[in-house]
Amino acid sequence: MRNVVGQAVNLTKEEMEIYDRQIRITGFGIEGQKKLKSKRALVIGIGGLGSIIATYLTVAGVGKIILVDRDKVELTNMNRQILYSIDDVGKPKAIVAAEKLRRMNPYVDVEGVVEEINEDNIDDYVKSADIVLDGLDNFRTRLLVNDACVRYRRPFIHGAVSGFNGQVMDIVPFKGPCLRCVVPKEPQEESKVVPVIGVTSALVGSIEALEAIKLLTGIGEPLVGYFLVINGLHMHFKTFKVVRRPNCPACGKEISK
Amino acid sequence: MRIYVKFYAKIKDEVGIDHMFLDIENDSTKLIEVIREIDRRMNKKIIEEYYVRRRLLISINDTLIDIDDGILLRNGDKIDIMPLPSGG
Repeated sequence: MRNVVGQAVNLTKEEMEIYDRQIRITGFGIEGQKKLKSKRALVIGIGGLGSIIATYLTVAGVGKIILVDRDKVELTNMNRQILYSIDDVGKPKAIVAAEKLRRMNPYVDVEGVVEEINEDNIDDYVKSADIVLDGLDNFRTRLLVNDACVRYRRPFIHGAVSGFNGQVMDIVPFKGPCLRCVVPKEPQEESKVVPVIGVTSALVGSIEALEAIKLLTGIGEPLVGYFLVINGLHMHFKTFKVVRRPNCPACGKEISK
Repeated sequence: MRIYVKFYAKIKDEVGIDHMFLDIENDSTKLIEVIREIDRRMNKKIIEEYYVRRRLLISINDTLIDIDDGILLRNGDKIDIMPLPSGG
């Protein structure tokens, strides 16, 4: 097993102990752990979803995690953005999150970047990762990220929440549909303030992290070609099929691949 | 034709019911016409507002569709109508 710069991936004695419980999972093993360690994940948005995603990828042992968020911690974040405490109000989220996660697991290279994702920088960020995860709060940027992931053939795990509801979809470009196959154009935004309770973000963020681990290790059946809709109030989980569309503005051009 | 419509989350709350059967005279009909018919039965413009703002997800027979695809609905189809969350 080698990482992106061709170095052999090994696990120290301490890492073997840290990850002991997941290494024991049938089908995961040391090979699965080494795969995670050799990979780089990009988490865009370190709010409710991103806090959970980043935490679970860190404790799972993904080798490098890049956290990107332009915002500072606010009091209104405290009901769901569990990487932050009241003392962090006013500090940049990406920096605070990276520091906490590095303490949580020093074997993971966690980098925090205070920046807004836009058309000028998204390609470089996506190219620097093996997988991209959605912690965003608007579809304009989500579609920008989706399009870049399609361009550079990077898997993208989409997630979104509102109230007690959420959704997750895995995008593996040209192997299945992309986000624009479902949401071809930017919708009018719901609101600047989306009501949500912490447990919804935790549920959806955890599923995003789980899907990333599945795609990075090759274990299980990822949600490629499926859209999971979660209704927390009624404990209703439903998976809808999504078909890759020949006229999709993002991935429709190489439909034969 | 008769189609089955199921509502989810906030849309279900606003419509006030979990599901409905819709009887329409034609053998097939466009999605937007079904949406308008639902609103007509509810006596208020709910679903079309979501549609115009592109803030909903619709599946037909458990497959999500692009709402602009010009799909025709037929007898026996099942539609699920959900809001599109955007929070993170």
